[in-house]
Amino acid sequence: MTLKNLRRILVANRGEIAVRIIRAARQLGLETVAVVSEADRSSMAAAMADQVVEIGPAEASHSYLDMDRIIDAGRQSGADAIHPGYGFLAENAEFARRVEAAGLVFVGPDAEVIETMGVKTTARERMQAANVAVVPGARLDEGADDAALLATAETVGYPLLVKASSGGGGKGMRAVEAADALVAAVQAARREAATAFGDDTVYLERMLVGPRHVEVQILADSHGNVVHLGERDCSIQRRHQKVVEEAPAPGLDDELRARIHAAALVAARAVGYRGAGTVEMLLDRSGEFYFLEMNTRLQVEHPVTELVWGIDLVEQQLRVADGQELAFTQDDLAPRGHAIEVRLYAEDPASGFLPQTGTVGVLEFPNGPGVRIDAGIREGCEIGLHYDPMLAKLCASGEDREQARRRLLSLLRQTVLLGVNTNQSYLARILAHESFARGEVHTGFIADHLDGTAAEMDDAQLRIFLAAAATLFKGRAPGSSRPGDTSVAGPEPVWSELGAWRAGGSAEV
Amino acid sequence: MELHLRHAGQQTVLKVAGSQDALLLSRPGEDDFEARILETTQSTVLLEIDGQRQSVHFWRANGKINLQWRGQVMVFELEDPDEDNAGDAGQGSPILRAPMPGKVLELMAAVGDAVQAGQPLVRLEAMKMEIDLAAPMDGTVETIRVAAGDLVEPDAELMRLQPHDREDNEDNEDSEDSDKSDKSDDAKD
Repeated sequence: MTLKNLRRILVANRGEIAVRIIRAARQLGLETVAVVSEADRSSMAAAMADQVVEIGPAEASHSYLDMDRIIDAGRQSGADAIHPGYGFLAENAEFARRVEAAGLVFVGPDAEVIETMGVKTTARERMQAANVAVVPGARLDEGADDAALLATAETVGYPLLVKASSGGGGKGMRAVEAADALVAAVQAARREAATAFGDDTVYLERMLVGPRHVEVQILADSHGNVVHLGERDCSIQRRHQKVVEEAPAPGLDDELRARIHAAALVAARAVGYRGAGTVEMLLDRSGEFYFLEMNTRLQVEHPVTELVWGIDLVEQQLRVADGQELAFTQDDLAPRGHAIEVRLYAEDPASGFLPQTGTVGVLEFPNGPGVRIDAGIREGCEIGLHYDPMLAKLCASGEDREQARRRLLSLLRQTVLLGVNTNQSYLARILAHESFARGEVHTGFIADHLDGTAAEMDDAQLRIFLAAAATLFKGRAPGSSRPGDTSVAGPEPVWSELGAWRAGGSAEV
Repeated sequence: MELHLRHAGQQTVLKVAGSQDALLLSRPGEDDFEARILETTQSTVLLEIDGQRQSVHFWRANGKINLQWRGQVMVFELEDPDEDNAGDAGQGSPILRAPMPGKVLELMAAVGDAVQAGQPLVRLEAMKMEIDLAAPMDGTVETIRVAAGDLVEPDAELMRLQPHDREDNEDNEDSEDSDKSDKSDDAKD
């Protein structure tokens, strides 16, 4: 069943999500248009799309964040709809408005909904009005002086988080243990928020101790139907950035799970949601959960939900954008098994997780039952510093959590990626950790178990590397051969590399 | 054959003896070990070591060999044993460099301050985030090359430390290494 009104969609994004959207669109028989910056001219997405429009230099503000250029590209290419992916303009209400004003369909909810839920303080207030419990917190007045800041912080209680109102992705956030660090933290968070989101408004929120980050996937059409596709647990985070995600959330009893799903549906209906969205909650140790925020777009970790619920969320987004009614009710949906995803980043845990650059020299992903890889890179690809360093999402599913965990661990050990430093073995350490195997996930997991500890390589493993290095460096050792030392690489290896040759006349190989 | 291998700032001297496909490898202070090379392709080496077959993927670039075994990566480069090599203290270089393009927001230490490994020295704004760059070793801040507000390129020198002596380090070795770092920097320019 193909779409009725949409024929061609423009993907206003890059990397693995652009590839994901293009794939889903093609499967529906849609034509695709990719917009690329100069740096992405030879990207995988560019290679896959039916049309490519170059929209500017590498710098995101002049390309992927340039609303007018993207909409022009949409008009030029005859696109009917624009899919914003996640990040960039995905939660930009102004962009949604302009897309609609240009006569194109924005794949997502209405601009007003994006706006309401995009300003975190307003979103919290809307949820409170709908009787959904929110994490205790408070707005900060713009002109608040230090005394007023401290007074507001008192009402929230320590420890607390200073968070960017227009924020996400862990940016513009600062944790504050006690009053003496508050003012500096607010200033730092404001600066970071201004740079990352163009808005320095911040608010305060109580920092729950060792909570779990549990979020619910919802899907709504334009005919009043809303369903949930279960929850995900994204508790394994480093500095508020997700590292490992899974579905369903381990260790929840059925009653709590049902209440969390129900609260998410209330939230979605309260704002008249349309499309795919996620209601994020924090679950504290006592079993209480609180609304954290709502993301009015597809999330990075959507694959784990797709693997467990058997639904293609991007396809559903496009069907909803096409005006179709959901083809299933809540009763038609049932989860099966477990899925875990890890985010492969071009960062080096050994040097403080600094973003890495390089060329992807070798790239091989294994395959098999329960394996899913969402990648936006190919061999030969240049990895620079212009964009988010996420290279791929590696997912594994199984009949139960342990099977999914083992499959993913195996996947991490068999994936070959050379040329850019990544967090690949760091991810394997997390998956192999006995606490993770027991399902003891919470937001303090990495800090508790991995921070400050370097991966250890025992000598048996080091010997394998040294033997390989010796094999490959043989014949390339610098320095001259010393007289009488026949073990030093001299001219001999060069002769052995010459291959077949014949004196006089051309060689036939 | 003697290979001076460098990986992540550490050097290993590996003696390699033996024939085409049966290697005998020795390192100072460690037991010798053997490895049989079963097969070498364009991107893999198949070895037999400690009685087990192991496949190692490799990729050569910029004079280095990138190796991957069971998901773990090590990058080696070969050093000419006759050349001076800087930073052999094994802790890293006493020079704090910008890891990426950015803007210096704040200097968190002054010339003459004694600092500890891991202590934040420079706050940089890069990739829309604030990143604190930490001292690579215990030392005293010797020179500061930047001020708050400066824009920096990757590898730009920000601060230089005079490393503090560790018990098993000789004084002379440390200061000689710092001088060698100077020379290799000049050579780059």
